[in-house]
Amino acid sequence: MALLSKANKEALISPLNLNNPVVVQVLGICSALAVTAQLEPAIVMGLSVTIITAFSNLIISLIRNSIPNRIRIIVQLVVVAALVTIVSQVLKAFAYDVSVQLSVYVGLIITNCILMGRLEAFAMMNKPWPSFLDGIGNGIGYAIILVIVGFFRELLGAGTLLGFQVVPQWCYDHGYVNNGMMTMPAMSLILVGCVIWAHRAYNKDLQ
Amino acid sequence: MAKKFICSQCGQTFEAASMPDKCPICGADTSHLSEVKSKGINTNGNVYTICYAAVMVVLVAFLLAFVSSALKPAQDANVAIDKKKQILASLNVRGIAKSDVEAKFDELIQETCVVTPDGQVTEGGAFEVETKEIGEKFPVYKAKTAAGDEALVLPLKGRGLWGGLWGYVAVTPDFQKVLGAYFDHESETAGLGALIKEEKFQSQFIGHPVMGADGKVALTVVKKGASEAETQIDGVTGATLTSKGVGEMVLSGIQQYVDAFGAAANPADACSQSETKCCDKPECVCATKRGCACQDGSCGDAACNCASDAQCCAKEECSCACVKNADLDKEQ
Repeated sequence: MALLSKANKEALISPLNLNNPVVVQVLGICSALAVTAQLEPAIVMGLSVTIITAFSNLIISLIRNSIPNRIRIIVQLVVVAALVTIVSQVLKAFAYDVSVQLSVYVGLIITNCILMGRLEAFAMMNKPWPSFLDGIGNGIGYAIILVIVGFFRELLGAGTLLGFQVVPQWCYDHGYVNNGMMTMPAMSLILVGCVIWAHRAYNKDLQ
Repeated sequence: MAKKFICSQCGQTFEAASMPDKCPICGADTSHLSEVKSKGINTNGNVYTICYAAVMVVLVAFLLAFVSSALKPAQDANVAIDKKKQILASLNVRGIAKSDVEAKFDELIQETCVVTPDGQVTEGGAFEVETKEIGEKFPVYKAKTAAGDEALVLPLKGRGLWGGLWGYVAVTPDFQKVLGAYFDHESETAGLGALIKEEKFQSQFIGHPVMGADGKVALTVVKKGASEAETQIDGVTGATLTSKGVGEMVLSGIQQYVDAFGAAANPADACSQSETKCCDKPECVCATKRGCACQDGSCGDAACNCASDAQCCAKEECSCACVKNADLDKEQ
C-alpha cells in the first residue's frame, strides 16, 4: 500500500479544510479561547496538540485490537495523559520559557475533545499509518484556526505580532487605540464565529 | 464459513464467504479491504480486562517515572537559571542569553543573607529560600544594578486575582528609593493581569521613593491615572485586582523587610555583619529597636527589670536579641 494513497491523503488533508476539527467538527473550542491572546503560545499549543494527536492516534491504532471494548475510553485517556505528561516534561526541560507561558494549558490538552474524538472515531478502526496521518491533519487543522485567531487578537489587541510592534507609533499619535476587548476570552469566541462564517460562506456544501 | 472483513475507507466490518471485489458498504476497492482474523483470546472477558488495565497502568507508571527522573536535572537547572534571570531583571539586566545568566549573576550579586522576622541574620543561603517560605524568613541579595549602584534585592510574594504573585524589588541600601523591579505571576489573565510581567509596567517603579512622609513604606500601585504621590505607581488598565495584588505585595512585603531589619539599623551593615558587631558600636540601635544599650552592660529594656544583660537575656520575655547573640558568642 502506497504511503500516500488517496485515502491516506484524504485523512491528512480533509481536516485542514472541509473536515476541520474546530470550525466544522466544533471540537477543542475551549483551549482555542484560552491560549490565543498572543500568537506565540497559539503556535506552540498548535504544535503540541499536533504531536500528541499524531502519536496517541498511532499508539491507539497499534493496540486497537487488544483493547477491551468496555474500558476503551479509559485506555485512550491513559495513553493521552501519558503523552501529555511527557510533552510537558520535555517542554520544561528544553523550552522552559514557552512552558511557563503555556502554564496549565499543556496539561489541559488531555481534556481537548479533538483527541478523544479522533481516537474514538478514527484510530480505533484504522491502521497505524492512516491514523498517524489523521492525527497530524487534525492537529494542524486545529493549529491553523488557533494561529488565525491569535494573529487577529494580538494584532488588534496589543498592536504586536510575536511580541514585535507592528502598528506604527504614528497611528497611536493620530488617535488609534488598541482594542482591549480583543484580549478578553469572549472576543476569541466571536472571532472563531467569524472564521466559521467565512468558512461556510466559501464552502457552500457545508451549509 | 463466513469470514470477517474490514474496510479501511469507511471503517465498517462485514461478513462474506471470500474476499469481495469491493466494499459492499462504501464501494472502496480491494486495496482497502483486509480480513479480520478471529482471536484466540476473548478481549471482552472480565479477567482479560482487569489484567489489561493492570499491565497498562504499571507500564505507563514506569515510563513516566523514567521520563521524569531522566529530565529532572535539566528542569531544575532551568528553574534555577530562570530565578537568577528574574533577580537580574530587577537589577535592570534584561534580555540576556541563557548561557550568560550564571556569569552575570555571579558578577552582580555580592553577598546574600537570610533575616528572620525577629532580626537574626544568617549569612548566605538566600538563593535556596523558596518563594513560599518568604514571610517566615527574608532572603536578601546585596548586589549592584546594571548602572553600578549599590542595591538590596528583596524577594516578595503576594496574591493576584487567580493565583500567586511574586517579585523582586531592588532598593537602595537605606530603603529610600526603588532601583528596579520584576514581577511574575502564576495564572493572571493573559493580556491583562499578565502585563505585570512586562518591562513596561515594571520599569515604572524605577526612581520612585519607597517611604511615605510618616517613615513607613508607602510604595504601592493605584488605578491608572489616579496616582497622587510619588510613591503611587500606575496599575494595569483592566486588571484592577492584579494591580491591587502587586500594590499590596510591594507595600506590606517591603514593610516586613524594614521591620525585620530594624528601620534605624543600617540594613547594608546588617547584611554583611552579624548583630554582635552591630552592638559593639555605641551609636548602634539594635535590630529589635527596644533600645538596649549593649555597651554599658545594663539592659535598656525597661520591661525586663534586670541588672545585667546576662540576666536579662536569660528570660524568655526579654527581647534584647543582640545581647543574646553577644552572650552566646562569649560562651562559645
